[in-house]
Amino acid sequence: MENQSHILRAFDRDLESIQAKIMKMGGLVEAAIAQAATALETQDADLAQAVRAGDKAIDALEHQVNEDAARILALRQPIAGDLRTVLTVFHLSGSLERMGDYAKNIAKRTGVLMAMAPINGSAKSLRRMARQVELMLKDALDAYIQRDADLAADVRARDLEVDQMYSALFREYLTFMMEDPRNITACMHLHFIAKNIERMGDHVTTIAEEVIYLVDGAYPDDDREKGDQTTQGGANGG
Amino acid sequence: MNMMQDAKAAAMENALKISARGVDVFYGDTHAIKGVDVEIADKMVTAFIGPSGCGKSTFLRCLNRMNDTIDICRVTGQIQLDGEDIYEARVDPVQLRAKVGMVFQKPNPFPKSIYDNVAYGPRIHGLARDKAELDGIVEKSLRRAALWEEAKDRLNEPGTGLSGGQQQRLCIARAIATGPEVLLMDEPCSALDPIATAQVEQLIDELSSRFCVVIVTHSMAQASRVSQKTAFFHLGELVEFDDTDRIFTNPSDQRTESYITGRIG
Amino acid sequence: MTAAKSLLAADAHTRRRNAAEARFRAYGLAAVLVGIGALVLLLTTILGNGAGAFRQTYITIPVTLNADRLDPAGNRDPAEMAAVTTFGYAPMLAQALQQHLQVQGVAMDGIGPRDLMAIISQEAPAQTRAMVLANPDLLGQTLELEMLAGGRIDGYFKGRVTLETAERDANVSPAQLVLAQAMADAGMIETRFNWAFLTNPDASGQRPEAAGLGVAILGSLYMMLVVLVLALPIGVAAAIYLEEFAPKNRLTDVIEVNISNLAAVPSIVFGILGLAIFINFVGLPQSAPIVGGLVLTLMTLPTIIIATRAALGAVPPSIRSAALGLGASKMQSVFHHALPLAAPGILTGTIIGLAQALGETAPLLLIGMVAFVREFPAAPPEGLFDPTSALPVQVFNWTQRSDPAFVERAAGATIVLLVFLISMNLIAVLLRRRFERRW
Repeated sequence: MENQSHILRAFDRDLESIQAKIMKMGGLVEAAIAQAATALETQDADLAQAVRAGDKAIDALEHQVNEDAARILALRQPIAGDLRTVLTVFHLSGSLERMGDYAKNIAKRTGVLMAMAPINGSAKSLRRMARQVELMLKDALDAYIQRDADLAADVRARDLEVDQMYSALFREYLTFMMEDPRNITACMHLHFIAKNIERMGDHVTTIAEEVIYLVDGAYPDDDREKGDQTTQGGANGG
Repeated sequence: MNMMQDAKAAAMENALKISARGVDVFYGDTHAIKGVDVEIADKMVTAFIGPSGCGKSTFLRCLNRMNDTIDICRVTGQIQLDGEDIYEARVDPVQLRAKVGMVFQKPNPFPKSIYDNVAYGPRIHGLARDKAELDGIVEKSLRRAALWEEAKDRLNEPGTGLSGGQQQRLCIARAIATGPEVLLMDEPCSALDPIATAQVEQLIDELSSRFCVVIVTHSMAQASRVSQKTAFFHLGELVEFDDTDRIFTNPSDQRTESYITGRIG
Repeated sequence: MTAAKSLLAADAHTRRRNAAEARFRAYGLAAVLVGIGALVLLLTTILGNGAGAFRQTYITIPVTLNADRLDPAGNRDPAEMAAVTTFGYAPMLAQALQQHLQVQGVAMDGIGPRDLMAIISQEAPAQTRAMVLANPDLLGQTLELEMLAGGRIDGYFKGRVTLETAERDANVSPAQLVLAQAMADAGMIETRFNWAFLTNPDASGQRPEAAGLGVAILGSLYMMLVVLVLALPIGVAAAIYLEEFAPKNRLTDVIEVNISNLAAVPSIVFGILGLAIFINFVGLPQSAPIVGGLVLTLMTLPTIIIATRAALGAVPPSIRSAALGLGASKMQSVFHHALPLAAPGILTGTIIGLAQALGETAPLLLIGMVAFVREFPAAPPEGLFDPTSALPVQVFNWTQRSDPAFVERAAGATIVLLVFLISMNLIAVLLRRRFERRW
């Protein structure tokens, strides 16, 4: 679609600028996810603190991106593909900022968890889940910058695994809590962390759907596959 | 969203007014219009957009046979108005032009009074039996052109004494005084300031419920504001013809997208 | 790095350019002054020479119209009274003058009766006869008659003839001049404005004082009428056809070029054409305004066609498009819109064409309008076939005559011609200003 540049090249520069900011934001969020997962696994308080501090930059970028995009709407009056580019930037910045908040929340809970007894194996699973989401985000951003709808569809499908992983962890933490009530506090925090990662996966899926809208001009018709069985069946989730 | 969808559905039900098949136009040896097929519906606004020299004005002028006045211009193909071929030998262009009115780019009122400007068309076509009937036609046309309030006390003053926007509305009143069914407008707002442009666009909106309006415009914003269907011309070809909201949000042809986003022109 | 130049310091390039432009403006002004100077010279010469023609010397004396001499039959019948020619009237006038001089006590040294008669114009008896024949009831009355003074006497009062020149002049003696002066002092002679210059017909070589432009003015007027009636419709119609309806091909190009060429053809060629076709072939009378009018029509046609085409071409195409777009036919758009808007231009072109035709001499010479015509032509249309003269031709004619008084008359005629031309051009300018439209 962008095979030709606008006759007014300042328009191209404006669009490139906000897309570059989105990629930068995406990079920061990817790093935040990885660091938060590592901090949890290695019980690194300083790293966790760094993640929490780093969220400011992500928030600031979101404000900048939104202001720039509004400016482009007012001054350039984009239509068709260009309009979709700007609209998706709004959505992407929102999704990325929420993901950054989740990463910060994970880091905060990591700090709390370090004061308690570790639950065996929990960190590893969470690490795996976080890695999955991190890879999904990387691919979604690649799909965005390369305008690759197929890659975006693939990312969208992978969210099923993240949901399934979350369901498994949910059951596991329930078991731990039922086994030993002294685990409840820790397991609650772990559960919230897992939930955050699962929400991050949903946001990445939203990003992928935005990429499909950007490329094809229409959102995908089929509903997302929901692998989250926690709200199905009885409250015991067994 | 529901409003827009309703309007869209309504537009698709309008009767066919003008139908063009395989229209080619030659200026001497230059092939200006290449095999254009298009169907223009009644009681709505169709916009022709495209870069300079793409042939949109030329094609517009085919619809009322104004190209006949240019010696080196040759038109082939079929153009039907209400099912009748307008280029058939039996058709008198004079009669055709009473049915298909035209408004031009630069407001061109006759150097006569406002009344005489509007009355000229009905006079030469013998549409009024007496002065009272003619007065009625003049008033109705000026009302429909949203000029009556401003002009009713100055009917005998020269038409050239009005402001630019008023002059263009006078030209529109003049064109609709002959009771046409189709109104062709060739870049009617390009010589007007933004306020006058907005007034004329509002007028077009009102007129579209009564006439089949075809407007050529080089402003895509204007096409998106006033029309329900848009045709994109490029280098003499009709590249894409679709609902206006579709053309401006997600056109099918790459050339259309490139033009409307300002990549070619 | 060069220092930035101050706007307040003029650089050499600009100064040179300004100097060149000032020089050019000076040249232009000088050219204008030369032109104006020539014009002023021309006008003062003409006015100086011709002003005198507008004043005429008249002798006013009481004359008894002796019924016995003038109406021997006694029945007051003009037909029979016509038998008394001017030879009968002239002595009567001389006698009346003599008597009056005696009564007034003006000395008549060295003046015989014949010399006395020479003071009065030779035209006077004819004029008196015409008056009596027109009104026989005047017979027997004593009237104060106003008579033209003789040519040389008139010249004396205008300063052309002096006592010195009278010595050498065969037609007048110094004694006559002295007497004339005495008469003037006594109030019998006065010089006043000469309306007759404009109304009298031409007069023979010996009577410059009686010569007038009446016939010439009428002749020119009739010809202008013919030109207007013929050239305007034909020229406008041709121009409309060429501009609006003719197809644009080689033939119309050829026609266009030839119309422009016609405007440049020397006018005497039109005279030859008129002689060959209108007089020899068609057989129209020589020296008639109809022939002159036809020749001048041919000459004025190109001017009117070109002016009309220019005026039509100046009508903006947007007006025509608007008319056509409303369903007017080509003819309607021309007659309802283009022609009314072009009318001021057409009018101006016509008036200028007429003004040019008024001043044309060469073709009229060839068709015989140089003849000496005394009778006024009848009213048109019959009058168009009577012989007349024309203003510019009259000027030519008078300059050919020997009497120096005719030089003055010729200059006077030139002034009349100029007045007509200037007023026609002025009317054209005023009309153009009045009807000029802004789009």
